Amino acid sequence: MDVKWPPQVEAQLKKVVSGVSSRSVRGQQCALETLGLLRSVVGTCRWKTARELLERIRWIGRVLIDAQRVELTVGNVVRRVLLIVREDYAQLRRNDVGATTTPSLHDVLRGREDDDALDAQVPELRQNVIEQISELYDEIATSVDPIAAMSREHLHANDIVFTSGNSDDVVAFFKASRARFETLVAETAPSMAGHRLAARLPNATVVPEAAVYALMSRVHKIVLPAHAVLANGALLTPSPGYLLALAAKQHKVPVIGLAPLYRLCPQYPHDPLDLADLHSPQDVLPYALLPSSVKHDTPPPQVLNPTLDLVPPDLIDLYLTNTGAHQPSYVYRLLAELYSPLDHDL
Amino acid sequence: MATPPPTSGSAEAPDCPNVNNVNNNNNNNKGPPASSTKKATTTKAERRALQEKQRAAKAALRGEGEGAKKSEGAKKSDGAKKKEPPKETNDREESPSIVSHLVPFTKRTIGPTVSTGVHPEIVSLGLRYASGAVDGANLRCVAMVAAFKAAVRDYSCPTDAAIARDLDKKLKTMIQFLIDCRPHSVSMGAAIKHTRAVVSRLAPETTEAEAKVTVREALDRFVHERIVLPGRVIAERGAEKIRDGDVVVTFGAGGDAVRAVFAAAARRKSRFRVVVVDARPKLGGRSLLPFLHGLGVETTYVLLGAVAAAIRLATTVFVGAEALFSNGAALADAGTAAVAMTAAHAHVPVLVCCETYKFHAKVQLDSLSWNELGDPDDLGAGGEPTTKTTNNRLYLRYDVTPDTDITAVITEHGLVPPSACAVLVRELELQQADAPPR
Repeated sequence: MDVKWPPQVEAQLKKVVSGVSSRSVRGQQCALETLGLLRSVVGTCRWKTARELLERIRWIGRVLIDAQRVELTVGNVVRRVLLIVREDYAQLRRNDVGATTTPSLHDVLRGREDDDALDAQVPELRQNVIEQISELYDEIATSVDPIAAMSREHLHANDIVFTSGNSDDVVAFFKASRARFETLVAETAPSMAGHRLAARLPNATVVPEAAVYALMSRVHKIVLPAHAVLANGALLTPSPGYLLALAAKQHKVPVIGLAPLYRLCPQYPHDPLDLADLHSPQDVLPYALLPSSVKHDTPPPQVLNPTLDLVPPDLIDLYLTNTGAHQPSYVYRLLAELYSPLDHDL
Repeated sequence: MATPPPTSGSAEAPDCPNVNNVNNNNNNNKGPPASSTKKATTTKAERRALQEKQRAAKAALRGEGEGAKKSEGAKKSDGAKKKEPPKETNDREESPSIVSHLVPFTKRTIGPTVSTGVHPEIVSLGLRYASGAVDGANLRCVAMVAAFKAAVRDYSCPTDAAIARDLDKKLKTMIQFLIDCRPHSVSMGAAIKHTRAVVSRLAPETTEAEAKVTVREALDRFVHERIVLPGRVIAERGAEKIRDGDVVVTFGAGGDAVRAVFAAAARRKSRFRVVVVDARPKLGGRSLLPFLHGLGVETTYVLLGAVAAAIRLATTVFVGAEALFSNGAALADAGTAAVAMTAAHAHVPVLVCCETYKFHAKVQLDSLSWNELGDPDDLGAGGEPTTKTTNNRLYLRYDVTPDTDITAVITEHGLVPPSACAVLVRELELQQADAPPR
């Protein structure tokens, strides 16, 4: 699609693309910047019909996803905006035509919206969509607050809570609890994010991954940050999240995932290593330590450095989202509310 | 439960001036002196009482030292003054309350020693234990037996004493020294028990020369029969379980037995790949890579956080063990249990390679009832200076793999289920009791 963007949008697009592709913008920040870009697209671009608008938003979405496949929040936000456009359009059309709000049996049997309908011109659409995007922006910007508020229900005095990675959501969640509890942080080698997390928390102890299993018998709860939650309820979390969750399962310790709604993805996991965000092997095994090639027919070691773990839904007990606590089995329902099935493929 | 090792009378010497001496003379200012950590006995209160007693003994000794040699004495008291504050930091709760029942880590850096009765070989070995230069169940045991042999060689019995009793007393002092350097392993416990049994069986009429030969031969036989030969049998048994195209997962440095299995499998020209799972802070796998490379075996290297990726490739898991308890649980380097758990969850068989001399009659249900704490400074986040003020760190040296996660144990008596450990321990005890006195 050959698109001519207003210079303001063009500049903003470049900025966001360079941010996500260099991984300097991540997670929530990434969602917000994408949303800001889409707001400019809706507000400043020339478009007449909803179909044209959807096409433009999709195009932006594809560019951003190509720029960084690991950052799944981009796709989620784009899909949320697509649904906003669809719903606003339908709402305004209903008001115009004065049609009944309940779909007819004919509509239900057809199963999908009449595509032709998207071509009608609705002048108020632009204003409505911009308002809704602003609301979504506020929802994402404050998504951690309702999650943190739930910490009082889940963290109690003298609990020992295990976590990993270095996530703002986890810090907010722990800090919101008034109870005095101990925190164990897996050091998350080789990135050592755990050390940075522990420095932000009171009462935290850093332990190496090797001690995860040994300590699990004394732990009361596992709190894992979400990089993404997938359609089957699986959690994508910084490693060693899988190790924590599996050891917790063996010791019957509840596992809680902190998942703001913008982290819910409609994709299903296939190959765990596809989503693993492989980093440089140099961090795991410095090149200097590779065995010297005495025997030339033996290739040097293959070194893997995945930074994200896929935790299957049966190892997760609860997701805390900004709309409440849900079981992994409920994720599909949330997805049905958040995204239109027409937008799963951008 | 206290430590797993203390077997029958493994050197519970009531007073051990040498060790205290050693710790006092710690002129090396690298770390706080070893607060005389007696082997974890039963309760904290008892330990405290014991510590008080030993401190008193130390103080008395210091007095003597000053009396004897003035310059030395002055130096010593200087040193002692300097050491006082770091000692306090040792008592500070550095680790969370979960491990408050474990003996806190103390840096045991020992300076030039004026010790009576501890053979220099033993002193040197103790230092190497403390620094981690000698590590691993088999290596620690074999090195100790070699040091015992040297001590026996240079031993001379006072004319008025019975050799069996006098030698035992000397050995006890030396064993206590080693234990104060680092808590002894189950493997060492077995060798200690054996050595002392041999010494106690020495007939009163044996001459010194004969006795020395008897003990030294018995020690050689122990290493040969309980460690070297079993290692060869385990290697062959294990290699039978590696077939062409297999992907074998192992953890850390692998241990002697596991390495022997890989070497035997490579000799059989099996074409297999080894996935080395490694974990900080020890990173023992880094020494396993060149070993496997030398055998011509292809390798994959991941850290423990990526264990799921490693197990997805695997057909078998081979791990070593520090000890096997009679409830079928295996004590091994921290991280082993996590690998075994992941494998068991993925229905990949887990084989533990362990000589039967490391089998132990005690039981341990989880990894925390007994464990050894390592130096928390080893957990410094790569490169940045380790500042004590940043955050608490906890370094557990071992963990316990439950029998449910172990498919089989490869021993010199064949492949047995972990539940057979209790049976083997019993059988071997009976065998030893029946054995003719050596």
